[in-house]
Amino acid sequence: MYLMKNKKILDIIEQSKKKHSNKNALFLEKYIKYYELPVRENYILYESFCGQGIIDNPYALFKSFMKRNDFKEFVHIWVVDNFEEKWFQILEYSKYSNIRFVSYGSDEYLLYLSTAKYLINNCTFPTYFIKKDEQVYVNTWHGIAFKCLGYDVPNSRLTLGNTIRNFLSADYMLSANEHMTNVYLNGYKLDGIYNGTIIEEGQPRNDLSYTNRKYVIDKLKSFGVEIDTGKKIILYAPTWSGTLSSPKMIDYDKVLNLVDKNKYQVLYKSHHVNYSKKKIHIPSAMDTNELLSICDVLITDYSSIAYDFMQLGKPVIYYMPDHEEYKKTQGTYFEWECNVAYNLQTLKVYLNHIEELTVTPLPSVICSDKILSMIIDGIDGKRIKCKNDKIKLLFYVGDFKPNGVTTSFMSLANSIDYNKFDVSLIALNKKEPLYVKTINDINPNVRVLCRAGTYAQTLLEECAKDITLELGIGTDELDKLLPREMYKREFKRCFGLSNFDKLINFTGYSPFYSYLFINADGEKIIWQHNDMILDRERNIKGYKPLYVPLSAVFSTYKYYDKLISASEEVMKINIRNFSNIPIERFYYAHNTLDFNRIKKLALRESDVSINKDKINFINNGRLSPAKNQRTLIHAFNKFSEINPQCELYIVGDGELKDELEQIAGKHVHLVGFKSNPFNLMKECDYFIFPSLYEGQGISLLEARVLGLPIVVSDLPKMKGIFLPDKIAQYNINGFSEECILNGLNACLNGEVLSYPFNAEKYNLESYMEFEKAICE
Amino acid sequence: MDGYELDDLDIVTTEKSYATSEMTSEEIYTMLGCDVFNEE
Repeated sequence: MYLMKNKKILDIIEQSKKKHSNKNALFLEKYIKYYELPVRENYILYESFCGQGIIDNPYALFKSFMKRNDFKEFVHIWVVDNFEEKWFQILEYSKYSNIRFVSYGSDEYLLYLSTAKYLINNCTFPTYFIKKDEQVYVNTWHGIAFKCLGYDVPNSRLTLGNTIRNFLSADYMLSANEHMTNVYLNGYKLDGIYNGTIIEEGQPRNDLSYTNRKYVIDKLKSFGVEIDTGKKIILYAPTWSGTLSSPKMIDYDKVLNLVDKNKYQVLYKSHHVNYSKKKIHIPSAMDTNELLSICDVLITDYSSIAYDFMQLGKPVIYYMPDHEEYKKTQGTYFEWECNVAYNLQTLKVYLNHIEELTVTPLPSVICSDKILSMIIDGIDGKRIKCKNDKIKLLFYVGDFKPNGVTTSFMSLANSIDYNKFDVSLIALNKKEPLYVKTINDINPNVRVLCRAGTYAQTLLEECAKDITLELGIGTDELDKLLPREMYKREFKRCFGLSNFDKLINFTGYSPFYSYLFINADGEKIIWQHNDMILDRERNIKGYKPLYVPLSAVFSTYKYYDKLISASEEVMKINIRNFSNIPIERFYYAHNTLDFNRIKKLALRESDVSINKDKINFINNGRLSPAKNQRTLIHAFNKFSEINPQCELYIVGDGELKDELEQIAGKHVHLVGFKSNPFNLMKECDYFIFPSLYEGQGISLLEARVLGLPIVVSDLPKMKGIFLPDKIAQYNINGFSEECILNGLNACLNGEVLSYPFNAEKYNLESYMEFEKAICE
Repeated sequence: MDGYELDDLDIVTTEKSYATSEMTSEEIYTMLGCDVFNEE
C-alpha cells in the first residue's frame, strides 16, 4: 500500500515557509543559532544606550576592570552603534588585543550577546534577547530617579514591556540608594517577582566625575568641541521627554542668549534626537560624568544628572518652563527647593548671580571597584533580595475585547485580595485606543507585563508550531511535534528569571497561550467560561470560527491541573464533555461583579436619549446568533404594532449588525457598543435576555444590580445565577418568537417585577469560590 | 583566549543561506517526523 504525505500538514508547512522568509524572521532564526552556542567564561559585553558610546555605568565598570590584575584574562567587548563617531575611543583602546568593538545588531553582536558570560547594560537589550542560565546579566540602569519611572508614570502600562523583561532577566540591578531601590521595587513593580539581586552600593558612573581635566578637554576636542580654558563652563542638559516617536525638541538658543559669553562658555548636552553638529553640542558618545568634571554650573530640569553634579559640590539651576504639564504627564518623586526657574526671566536672574547660587552638596560615592568585585569575585556588600510570601499569579486574559471574559476579569481584579496574591497579567503590544484604555483601567495592583517584540524560532520550530496550532496535540504523534523548547524560550524571554505559582489561562480560547503555559513551571489553570463544546460549534454564516483554535485548546486540557467553569451547571456539562480529564480537576467559580462601578457609571448621563413616558426594554450583548437578537427583533416588531408605547434598545456590536439593522422595526433601536451601557440600562424599564446559550450571563447580573425586572431564557446553565425565588426573574420557556412575546406581554401584565439583589454578598461568595478553586 | 571566533563558526552571516530555507516542504515534513501522518 502506498502512503501519501498528509496534504493538510504539507500545506501548513508551505504557509509557514512563506511566513518565515521575511527578513525579521530570518534574523531571529539567526539569533537562535547563536543562542545555541556555549557560553564563554571570560567574555564581558558592555552596552550603553544601545551602543551610543563608551559611556555611563558600564564604562565606569570597564575602567574599573582595567585596573584589575585579571584584566587581560578577559575579552572585553563594547557595543557601538556607529564606528565613525566613536573613532577616538576605538583608537584609544586599539593597543589592547582583548578589547573589541562590535556593531549593534551585527552578527558579531549576536554572537557575543549569546556567548559572553557577563553582560553589562545601562538600558535594555533588544526585544529578542534571552538571557541564558549560564550568563550573568548586570543591568546598571542610568541615574537616580527624580522624574517618575515605570508604572509610576501615568498610563505607562503598555510602554514598559522591554524594560521590565530586561529587569526580570537581570541577575543584578544596580541601585544608588534606598530611593532608587524603592523605584525598582514599587515604581517598576519588581517586588514579588524579581528573582535577581539588587546591589545598593552607588552608581559606578560617579567615579568618572573625577576624571583628569586635560583628558576630558582632549576628548571633547576629538568630538569637535573646543573648550575655552579662560572661561567657566555652564552645561545645559535637559532631560529627554516626549515619546520615542515624537521627542520634545528643546530651544537651547533661548538659554544660550541669557549667558554672559565673556565669562562663560555654554555646552549643550541633549538627547541624541536633539543633537546637531554645532560646536556647543556634546555628542552622545561623550561620557556625561567625565564632562561634568570640567563644568562649573549645571542647568537641567528633571534629569538625574543633577544628583551626579551635586556630588561635586557645584551649583545646579533647575529650569522647568513646562513644570505643570510635566507633573501631569510624567510626574516627579520630589520637588527641588532652590535655584528653581519656571520661566526665562527667573533663569536670567540666576545666571546673573551665579556666584550666589545655593549649593546642595551630596556625599560622593566611589563604588565601581567594589561593585565589580561583588559581581566577579562574590565579595560582600549590600545585596537586596525582593521576595514576598504572596501567591504569585500570572494571568492571560486575551485581547480585552468588550466581552464577558474582559468584564469578568476587570471585576475579579477589583475583588482580589492583594495581601494574599501577587498578580501579573500578560498584555499584548497593541495600540488601539480602546485596548490601551481598558488596560490602563485595570486595577492598579495588577502588574501588567506587556509582551514586547516577538519570539525567535527556527523554520522547523515555526512549522511544528503552526501544525500543532492547527491540529492540536490530541495524539501522541502531534504531541511529540509540539516545539516545547521554543515555548520555553519564549516564556524565559518574557519573564526572565521570574517564576509564578499559578499560571491562569483566563480566556481559555487561545492555543498559543495554552501551549505557552503548559510548557512553563507552575500550577496550570484554565478557565471554561462556557459550555466549551457548544462554543466550539458556534456557527456564524456557515463558518465555525472557534472550531480550530478551541479544538487545539481542548487538546491541552490534559496538561492543566485545574479547569474552572463559570458556574456549577456549566462545570457539570464540561465534565460530561471532557470525560478524558479526571473529574477532580474540575472546579467552578462564579464571575465576580464590580457592583460599585456599575452603580457609579449608571449615574452618568447617557448619550442615547429615551422617552421615559414609554415602556422601554433593553438587551445588552454581542450581536450574535447565540444572543438570539434576531428572534427578539421579530417578536418585538409584532409586539410594538399592538403596543406602540413600547420601545426596545439593543446595546452591542457584532457580526449580525447589518442583518439586525435591516430587520429592526421603528420601535427597535440598535445603539451600538457602549463602554458604559449602565446609564442607558438604568433608564429602561425591563431587561430582556433571550439567549440561546450563555456561559456567564454577566449582563443579567448587571441588570440585577441596577434593579431592572428581568425576562430571560430558561437555560439550565444559567441556573447558577438565577435567584431561587421564582419571581426574581421571568423565565421564557423556549427561544421562539412566541415564547419571547409571552415574556414581553408578561411585563405589560405586571407579572415581571424588580427583585432585591444583594450584590455585595453575591460578590463575596463568588470571590471565595475563586480563591477556593485556585488554592485548593 | 578560549573558544572560537565568528569566522570559525558554521553559522552563516547572510540570511539567504540558511540550510533550512533551502529545504522543500517535503523535506521539512520528513525532518519533523511527520511521516507518521502519511495517508493512503
